[in-house]
Amino acid sequence: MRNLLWKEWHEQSWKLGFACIVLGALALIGMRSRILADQTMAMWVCCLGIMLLPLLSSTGLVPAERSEGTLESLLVLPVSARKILVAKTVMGIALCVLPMIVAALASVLVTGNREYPASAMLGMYGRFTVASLYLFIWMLALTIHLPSETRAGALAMGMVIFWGLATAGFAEPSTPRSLAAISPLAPVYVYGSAFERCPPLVVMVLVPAVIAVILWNWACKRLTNLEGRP
Amino acid sequence: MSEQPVIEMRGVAKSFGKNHVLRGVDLSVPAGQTFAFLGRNGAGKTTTIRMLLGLLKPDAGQVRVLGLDPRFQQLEIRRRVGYVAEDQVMFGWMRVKELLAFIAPFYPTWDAAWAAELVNRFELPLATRVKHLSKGQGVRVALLLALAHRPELVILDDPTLGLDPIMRKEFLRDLVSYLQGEKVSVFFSSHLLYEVEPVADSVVILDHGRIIRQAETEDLRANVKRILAPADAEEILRGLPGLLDITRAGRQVTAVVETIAAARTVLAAANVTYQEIDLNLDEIFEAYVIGRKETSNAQPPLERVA
Amino acid sequence: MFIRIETSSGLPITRQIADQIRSHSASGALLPGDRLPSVRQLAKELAVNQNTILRVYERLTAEGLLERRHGDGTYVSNAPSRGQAKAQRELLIQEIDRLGHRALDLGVDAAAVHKLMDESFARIQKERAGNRKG
Repeated sequence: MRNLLWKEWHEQSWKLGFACIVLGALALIGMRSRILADQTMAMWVCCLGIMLLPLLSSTGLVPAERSEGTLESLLVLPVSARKILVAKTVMGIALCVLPMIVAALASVLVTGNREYPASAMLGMYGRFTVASLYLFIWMLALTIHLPSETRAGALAMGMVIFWGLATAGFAEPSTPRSLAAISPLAPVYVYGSAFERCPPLVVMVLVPAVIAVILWNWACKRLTNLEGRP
Repeated sequence: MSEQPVIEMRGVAKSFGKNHVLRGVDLSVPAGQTFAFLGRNGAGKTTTIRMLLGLLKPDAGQVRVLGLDPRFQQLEIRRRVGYVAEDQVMFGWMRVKELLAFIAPFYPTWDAAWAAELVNRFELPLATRVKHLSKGQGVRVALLLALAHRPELVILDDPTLGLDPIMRKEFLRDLVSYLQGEKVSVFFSSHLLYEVEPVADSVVILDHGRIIRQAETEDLRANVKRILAPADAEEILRGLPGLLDITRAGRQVTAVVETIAAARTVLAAANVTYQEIDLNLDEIFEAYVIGRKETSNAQPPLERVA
Repeated sequence: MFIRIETSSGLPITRQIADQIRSHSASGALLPGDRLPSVRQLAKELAVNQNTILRVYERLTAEGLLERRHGDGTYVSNAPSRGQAKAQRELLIQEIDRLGHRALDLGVDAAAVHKLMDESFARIQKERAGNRKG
């Protein structure tokens, strides 16, 4: 396992540095310049994060290796597909979480409590991070069989748009609230914003988590899919 | 050494959509031999090898490698089998020593001292990144990775693809010294027969999804021969047992038979004067794979110029 | 000892190697008491299956051309035995049969072949004498 993690780290660490710098700098500069209200600025940084990070990590972890041809070299080794995917998932999680932490710290350090309570700001970053983790799992599972990064990126982008619109649609009074729980973006929308009568916390946490686990297991099986190449 | 065959396949079939790549493959590879797996491009060699390693599941039939089922015990199999893929793409950014350090933990039987010795013998630069290695060095790295954990069986899928003739000879030399020397079973797929022949103990020919011949190389050479006889003997030749190919050539007719001994008896009984011609493995392969059992004119009939 | 293998020849590889060892022994390139390379060495040098080399050595040992000394390797035997002379004769007979077929194909009769043989021998002996001097 250690050697698998070492490999993923070496391959993806540049992305981690890049994302941390971009989000951190944006948060820093944005907050200092005060072109927008602190809360709005933070929300924009979070939105950039949730659109960039899951996509960057999921497309680079499997589709990129598949197109390069090195995935087969991995699958031929005496190691279960599950272990390979665990190492990749760990790296993906790091890629989704760490830059957000950097941006969150930068934001709080600059703004303190001046307009918006620090705890609320951290809460916002936190919710967006959880949502991007769920989104990452969704993207990983649905693009894992694709042989090209660009196709995977396109599909992932489509997913963000779809879930964004869908979750907004859940705000309609006629839709049952609990349905919103299946969306990976649920943590963002349902908590904090003016979303009356949101489902109980347990539901909001457990349902997406269960879906994520199911999707991840499904992804494991599809990782080894070589059927397309006789 | 166990007498159990290292590879066994019975009635294995595999299709990709409408493409029936394998249609009932029966194969038994005994231990301690160098086995050549021959077939045209697209005959299903790579598919077969992928099934041996558990990368693909057969649609029908049974596969056993070292007595284990690749569908359920593929990790155990891969630990005891060395594999060199055709045109292998390895992690280009890693340096050779990093690659070795990455691969080693997967194999409990990895022999670091042996790996170090192979690095020396293959003259591999440890600090160079894999993407900067020459093609020949790349193949040697792949061979090293396949040998370092002391496998019982090594599977090579067209390993000399893209190598120049000198590198190919070197590779075969390495195969002979490091694998045959250590009594490792070798399963070697190739479509370059002239290369395979000096090195293989036995050959198996895959064509149109089936095994059409399995034999020891010496036996094949000794038994499959070409017969050249005058054209009036065509009927007799056509009726020969084990006929693989028959062609008319002007005033003569020539046929390739599987067992020359049987053919000799028939021809002697029919009092036919004929000539026996030895065949190389390329020609034998050709006879099996594109042989025509109905006579056709190889050359246009000779015209009498009065 | 120089051995060349023609991979695309119709002749089996064991035949090719055995023939060349025999002719080296006949021509004096290999002298009685000379040590042959080990099976592993020769297999590696020629890029040929070790079993093939083993078979060649075994065949030539059975003929009496070579002898295996336990733990020491394979040597050219000191006294060419009857078996070896017989084997060499048989080789020659095969060559002569081939010559006979060719002659018949070309429409040359036995008497003409005898004459041509005598001329050939004379020519060859002259060449060899000349080479030895030079």
